[in-house]
Amino acid sequence: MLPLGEVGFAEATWIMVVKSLVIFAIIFGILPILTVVERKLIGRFQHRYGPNRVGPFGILQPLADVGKLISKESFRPANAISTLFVLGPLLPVLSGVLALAIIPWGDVQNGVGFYGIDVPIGILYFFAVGSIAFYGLVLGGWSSGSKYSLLGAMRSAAQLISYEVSMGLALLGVVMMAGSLSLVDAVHAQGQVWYIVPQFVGFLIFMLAGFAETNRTPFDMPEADAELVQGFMTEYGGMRFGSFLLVEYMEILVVSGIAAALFLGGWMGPGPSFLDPIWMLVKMFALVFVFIWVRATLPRLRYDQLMGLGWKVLLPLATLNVLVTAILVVVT
Amino acid sequence: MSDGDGNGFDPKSASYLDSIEVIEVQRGPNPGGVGGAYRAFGETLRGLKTTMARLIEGPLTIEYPEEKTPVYPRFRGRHKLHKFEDSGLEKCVGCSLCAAACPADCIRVVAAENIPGDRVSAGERYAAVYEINLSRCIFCGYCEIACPFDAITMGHDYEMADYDRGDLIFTKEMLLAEPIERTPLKSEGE
Amino acid sequence: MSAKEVTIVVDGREVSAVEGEMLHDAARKGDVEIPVFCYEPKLGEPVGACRMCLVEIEGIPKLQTSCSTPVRDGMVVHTRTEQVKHAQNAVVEFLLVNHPLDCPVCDKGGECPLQDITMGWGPGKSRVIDEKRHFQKPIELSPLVAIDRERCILCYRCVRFSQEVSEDSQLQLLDRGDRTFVGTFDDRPYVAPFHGNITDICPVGALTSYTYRFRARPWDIEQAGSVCTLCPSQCNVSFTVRDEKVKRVITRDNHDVDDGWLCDRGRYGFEMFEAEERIAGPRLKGGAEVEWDEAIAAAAAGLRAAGGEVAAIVGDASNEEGYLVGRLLREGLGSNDVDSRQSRGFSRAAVVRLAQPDLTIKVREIDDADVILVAGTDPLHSSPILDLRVRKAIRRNGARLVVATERPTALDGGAEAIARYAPGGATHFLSELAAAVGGAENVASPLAESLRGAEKVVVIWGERIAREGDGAATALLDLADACGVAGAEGAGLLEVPDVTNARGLREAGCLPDAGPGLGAELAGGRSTEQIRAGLISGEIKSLLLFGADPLRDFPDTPAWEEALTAADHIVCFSMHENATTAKADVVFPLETHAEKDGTVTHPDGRLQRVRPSASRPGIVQSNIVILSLLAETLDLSTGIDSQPTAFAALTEAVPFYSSITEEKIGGQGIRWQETEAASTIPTPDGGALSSEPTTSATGEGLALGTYRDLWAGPITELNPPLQFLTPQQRLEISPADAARLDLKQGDVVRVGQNGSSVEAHVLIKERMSEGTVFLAEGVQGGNANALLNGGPVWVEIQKLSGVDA
Repeated sequence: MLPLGEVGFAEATWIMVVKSLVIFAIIFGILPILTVVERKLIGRFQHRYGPNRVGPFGILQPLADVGKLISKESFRPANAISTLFVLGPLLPVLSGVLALAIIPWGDVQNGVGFYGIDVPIGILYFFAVGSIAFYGLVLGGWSSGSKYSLLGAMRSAAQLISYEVSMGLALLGVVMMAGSLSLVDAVHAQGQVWYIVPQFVGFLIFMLAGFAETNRTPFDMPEADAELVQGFMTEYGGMRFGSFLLVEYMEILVVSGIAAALFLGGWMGPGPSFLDPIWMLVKMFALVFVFIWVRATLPRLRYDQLMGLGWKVLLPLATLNVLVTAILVVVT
Repeated sequence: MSDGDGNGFDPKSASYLDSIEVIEVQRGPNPGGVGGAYRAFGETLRGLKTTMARLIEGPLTIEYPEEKTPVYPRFRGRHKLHKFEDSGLEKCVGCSLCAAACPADCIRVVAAENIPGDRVSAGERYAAVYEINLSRCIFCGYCEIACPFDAITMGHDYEMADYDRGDLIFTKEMLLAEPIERTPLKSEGE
Repeated sequence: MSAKEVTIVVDGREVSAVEGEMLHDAARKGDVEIPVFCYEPKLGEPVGACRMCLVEIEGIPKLQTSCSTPVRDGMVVHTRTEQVKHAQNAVVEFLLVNHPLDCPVCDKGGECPLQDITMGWGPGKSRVIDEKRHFQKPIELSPLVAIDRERCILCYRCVRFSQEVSEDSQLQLLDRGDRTFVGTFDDRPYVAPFHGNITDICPVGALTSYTYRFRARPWDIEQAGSVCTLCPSQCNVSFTVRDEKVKRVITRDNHDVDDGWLCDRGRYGFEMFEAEERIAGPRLKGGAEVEWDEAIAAAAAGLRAAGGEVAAIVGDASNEEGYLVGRLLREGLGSNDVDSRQSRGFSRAAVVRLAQPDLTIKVREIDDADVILVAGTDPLHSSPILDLRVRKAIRRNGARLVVATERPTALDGGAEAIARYAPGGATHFLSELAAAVGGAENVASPLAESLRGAEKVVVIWGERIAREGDGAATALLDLADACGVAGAEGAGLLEVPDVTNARGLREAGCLPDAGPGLGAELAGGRSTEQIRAGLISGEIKSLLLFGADPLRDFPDTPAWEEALTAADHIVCFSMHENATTAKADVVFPLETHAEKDGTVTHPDGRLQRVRPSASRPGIVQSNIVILSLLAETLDLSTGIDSQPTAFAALTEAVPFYSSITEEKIGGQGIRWQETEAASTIPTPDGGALSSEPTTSATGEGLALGTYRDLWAGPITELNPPLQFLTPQQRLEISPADAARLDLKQGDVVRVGQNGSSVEAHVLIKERMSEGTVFLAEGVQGGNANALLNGGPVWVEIQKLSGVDA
């Protein structure tokens, strides 16, 4: 047994290996599409087409991008700390992939759970694993030996601390209502009503914190191109830079997945049960769309506004939400 | 800087404050606090609505190489040199006035004398070398205005990009040749 | 000047002017511009023909021409009243009745006074709807100048130039009324040595040079002021440069030097800068083009190998270059064998005496001379612009001219007395003349008649007489003494040297017996002739030629041929390929006067600056830099790396140049005699000069005299527009001698002497004295230098073919 405490449901090891590979393959198939979808959507939001030159409708654009990134020199600055500099982009990839494991794509069907693994401490796992990504950013930024990178990394750390707290508190309401930390259980608990309805405030806070977690507008402070020339990524090029980019999209998917599972009823939807993963994907993409929509709309916050929002608005709101939920849970 | 002479003004004196007209600055509501957060949320939603509306409207792009914006008849594009239609002689006599008028100094004319049996232009002289460095040209059209023989005019072609700067120096032969009409012209009233 | 200062009022401004000055010039001092077409002070008296300069003068009812109205005290003049404007408008409108409006085609467009005046003072539109007059479009006035008679506004300027300045009287206004046009009798081409000036003074595009026709527009070009170094006149010129190439040469007025004129040699002699024969980089023997360091190493190795047995001859060079060559030889190679003369010359003692400031005249003072003596030179051939200067003095200021030469000169027509002496007899004749002025009765008495008692006597003498030795200097100094030249205001001597910068090179140290500044006597230096002898005898092993072409320019070509063949090593700086460069082991390219940066000294002591105006061809470098690199390779550290450092070193070495700076030279130059350091010139030491004339032998046959033709040499051979002027070798002979030898005009003869001979066409000249014949030096076929092997020469003439045989 895996040393992850008490696991709700576990299959034979070979099935788990196959599941992992399938999920991995699907997510890594989706990621490139996500990049081109984002660019095309942003284009549409701005009255234009977005990439449409490579392949029909520009769908081969990601191939060209990856080809370009791979063929570029993996440049390393002279005063960078070499091992850490190389490690920087790897840690976030690891964290993203690990976090993918707990996203539930469906219930147990024919003896196979439609998820990587159902750990009873799912949400804690998500926070624990998700935070590893920040080590990557901080290490990468610091080891680059550049002031911009370092500043970007420091901002990432500060942002993480500020928003992780609210994010955790926002999910606490769901946990209290579902009575479990497991995501599968949480989905099951939404049989009557999706938690977005009772936990609307929690959903909002989670999404806002999610933007911050993924370094997306309006909280893309760490990489603020205008002032920090891409923050911790300044000195990265080629595929190392590419993996940072990849992680960003992976994190979007993870956050969307968690939000879909915890607030939008997960895989549940009309139709036969084999459509469950499709429903899950649809909900995730709906949230991804929100990510893109927000990026097309909002400007970047100033650093003090970012901190103010995190500590002065989100944190009290989340605490209040937890309190109210707790009272309601106890009362009902 | 001494205030002993009594002529200097004291910004705090009553008479000074009375003498100036005070205009109250119009300010919006306080951006902080719960109200501020609420309003910010509302404004955010409004922003989201605005962008969504753009998405629904659809793109306005003119997909350039396939589609082209039509130009106005007086559009100042690539230059053309002209010949007389009847005699086939060049209108340009190599007077260099275009070069004199050119603010970008991109026209070079070297004149030569016509040989009676083998005339190139109508006058005594003709342009043996007529070059326009289009990488320098600012398309102001002064050359066209300066030309006393209407030998040079600005055409409609704006597609002149090239891979080599040297190729952007247009010679007399290139300027005299009938240009490929690549640019649609705006029709009447468009 | 003793002229009275007067005050006039022009357009309400008080202007002080000199009495007798023309109103136009006076108004200009008050910044009032009065438009003119025909008025040009250079051309002499105003004619008032164009009526453009009409102004209103209070007290005179009708408008007056300001160009021909002298100012009077208290005159009140208006140039902008309605009446004046009306008149100006009318004049311009009338001029444009027949002037074609083909400005875009016309070469003058952009620098055309008619355009400017029409824009500034014209009516703006014409009421004339009739057909303009028509002539055949440009026709050849001369092979160099085209005339477009439609454009001519009949201002008379070119005709006046031809009649009154160059006095060739070839241009005339022909026909009458609106058919009037400028032309020559019988449509002959207008060929004269100064005729290019008419293109400069033409106020419209009627007269244009073929060499500049349609080459550039005023906005395509830059004008670069410099000095022409094609002859000792050192006229101030302005190069018209387009794309870093000289396209035209025009005058740059400097009344102290050229009076605003330019000869055709200087005006059209610029295409040789880009001739195919131009040397565009250093070469080794056989024509192999090499890089600079290799060539300099080769030259230095050859010079060093001679172990002090080295000589240098400097020809066409600036002061700085001459100074550097002198240092290179004396300090770098330990040899005093430096010379800048083509043949024998005066000793240091004579040079010092003749260089004294109180003996030298300023060119401008020729204008006011009482009597001008031209001795032993023909200015037209040797220093053309002096010819115009002398004519001006005679025509405008009533100067009297006396000519004492061996060969008839172009100035003979205006001379009061003429004497011809035998070739090589200058010393004898001048000492006779000195005696005659002093009262003696001899052959020179008719000339002495004119000179005696005159206050301002100007003696223009040719350096050629120095070939007769110091005796000539003695005679010249005696003559100057007899005429009371020394110290007299407006009187003095002026040399016409053989090479452009002869005076500057002598003063910069290119003499065998004197270093820079004509300082103390140096011993052991060889002069040009001795260098030749030294080369033949093997005493000199290596030769440095700087801008000198002995095989064309120096007397006794066969001996030079032998000398150059005998030399172990020859380093030659030359502009073009020639017979001498073919013999050189290392050839360095020489800069032209459009490329050079340096100073030259006029025969009257004026230092002028030659400024670089055009780009150098190929890898040609500054000669100063090359010389200093060469010196460095020879372990001589000169501290010179550019023209300014070279000039600084020169002024330090030459005491009487010491207060001259480049700022003082400016655009017009400065005479060192007029600076405070002039007194530092060495004073003549007591010893008398040797006075024996070298001429004593008599010979059989006809005495041969030679002269350097204005058009002989590379100037015509390498300039395509001037090629039609390339002189043929002609044997000039008196009618009596021709009859005796049965020669007719145009016969081909062989002129032989002591084994060498040249072929020539016979030219019978009335004014030749019997017993002498003349041949030209430097011409391509039959260079007379081949016959001059020292001293007077007697030749035999053999008829080869007759014109009507």
